[in-house]
Amino acid sequence: MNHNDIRHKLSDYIDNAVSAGERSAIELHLAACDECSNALEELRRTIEQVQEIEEIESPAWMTGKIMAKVRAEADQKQTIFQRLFYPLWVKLPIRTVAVLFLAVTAYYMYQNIDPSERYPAEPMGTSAQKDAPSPSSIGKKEKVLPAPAPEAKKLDQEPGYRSLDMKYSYEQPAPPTPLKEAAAPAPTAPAQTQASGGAASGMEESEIMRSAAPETAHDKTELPAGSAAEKKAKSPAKAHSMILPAVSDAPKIILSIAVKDLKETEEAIDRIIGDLKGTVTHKATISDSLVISATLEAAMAGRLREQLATLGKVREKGPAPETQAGKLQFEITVTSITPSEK
Amino acid sequence: MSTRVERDAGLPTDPDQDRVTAARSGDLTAFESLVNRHQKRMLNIALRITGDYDDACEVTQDAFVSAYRNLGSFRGGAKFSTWLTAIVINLSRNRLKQLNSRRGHEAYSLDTPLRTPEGEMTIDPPAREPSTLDRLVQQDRQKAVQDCIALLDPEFREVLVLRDLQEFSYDEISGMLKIKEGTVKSRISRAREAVKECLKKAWGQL
Repeated sequence: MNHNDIRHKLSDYIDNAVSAGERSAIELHLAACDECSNALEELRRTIEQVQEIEEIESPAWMTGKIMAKVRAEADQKQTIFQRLFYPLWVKLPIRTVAVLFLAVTAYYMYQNIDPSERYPAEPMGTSAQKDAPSPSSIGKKEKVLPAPAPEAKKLDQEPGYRSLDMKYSYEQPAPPTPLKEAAAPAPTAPAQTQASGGAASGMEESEIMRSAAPETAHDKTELPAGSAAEKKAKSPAKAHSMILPAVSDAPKIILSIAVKDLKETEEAIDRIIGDLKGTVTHKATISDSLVISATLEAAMAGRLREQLATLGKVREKGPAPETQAGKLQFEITVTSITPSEK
Repeated sequence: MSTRVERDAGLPTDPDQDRVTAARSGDLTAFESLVNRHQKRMLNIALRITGDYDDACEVTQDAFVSAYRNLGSFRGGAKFSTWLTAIVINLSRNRLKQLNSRRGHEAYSLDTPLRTPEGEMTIDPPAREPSTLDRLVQQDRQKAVQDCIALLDPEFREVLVLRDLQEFSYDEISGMLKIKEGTVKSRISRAREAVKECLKKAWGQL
């Protein structure tokens, strides 16, 4: 080792971090080299000076502050641990309560939903009236409607998607029809399109739904014979056929009368028909209307009209009685005048 | 060739081992005793490296919290004090980096206290306590040494503080700083030479 090497080893020599061979070589050189022995002495003093630097005391608050932070850390750790590994006797009741809560909630939800499932027609009618669609939207809707018609088999699902399909909002709120009849409504959709084709008809039909059902049926029969709309009319008519007995081929005069008191009028009509030697064949009450079917001699038709006129305003539909002979069938629809109609 | 300086060669195990084991299993009292045992040393290391008292206090607190958080990863390969010192050194380095980048953007103001290794000092230091001439001289000498250490580059300052102030072995320093023992030696040597030259300039002679 030369002079420079030894100068660089002096620091290690002080720390006793040299090998035995290096040590003896350094000591040999130091004895001969004043520069190096001075450098060694200065280095020793420097280290002494550095070591003399007084240590400062840590502030009194230090431990407290550190431990506060550590405790916060420990709490956080514990919380996570506890959340993950709750003992079973704690977890089980919590889970039981949760399952019970879900069950009870599901039950109440079912209870609330059930009525609307049972009576889907009622809210549908109202909503159809509220959202009276614009002519353009109706046009679009009706173009879409024929699509499901050819797939008659799909009608099995009808109760399910009934509430979702706007088509049903235009239909009579009739009681559910048996499956074999279910094929009937399918072709009515395009038929309706042809017959009405506008917002006005939509409005008319929703109004019909509110008023007396039989009248609806007869309004429909007025449409041109053989048109598709007539088929549509059969659908509500079928509903009537469940209430009214099968109508014979005899000519039928349809009268409607608006009165204040249904019951009083019913008795009066019974009396009039009795006086005119007619027979009441059937009676049916549909919402706020009363339908009385009766058979009378053709000659009595005029008197019947006169007497009915004393009860209220009479409107007439059907063939003119004068041209008929023999027995005539009458269907008298009595509608009560509710305050809203005044 | 045995070049290791084994100051604690006589200690077969870490004197903190039991406390560390207890603290790891959630005993906060055991951890508190570790804090009490080591906080002064850690504060002084941080102070000599950062050169700022407040920064050193923060570094020390953060180091203990970090140590607590990572007790699980401390496997006892080194002594707890060595492991803790390594944390302090790392945090001090980070603090220095932050400080340097911040100071780079700050304009100097006459009202701004001077940052010295002992902490903050105002331009006109008040004579807070009556001191003898000897004490003043002693303080001046110590301040000169501290200033000379502060002038070193951080990598040289770290090894000087660890070796000459805290008396860690070369081996321990090598482990803490993750540098070779040869590098530790050469850095210590150069750091001592630099401080020596600095003091000779300040005092004329040693």
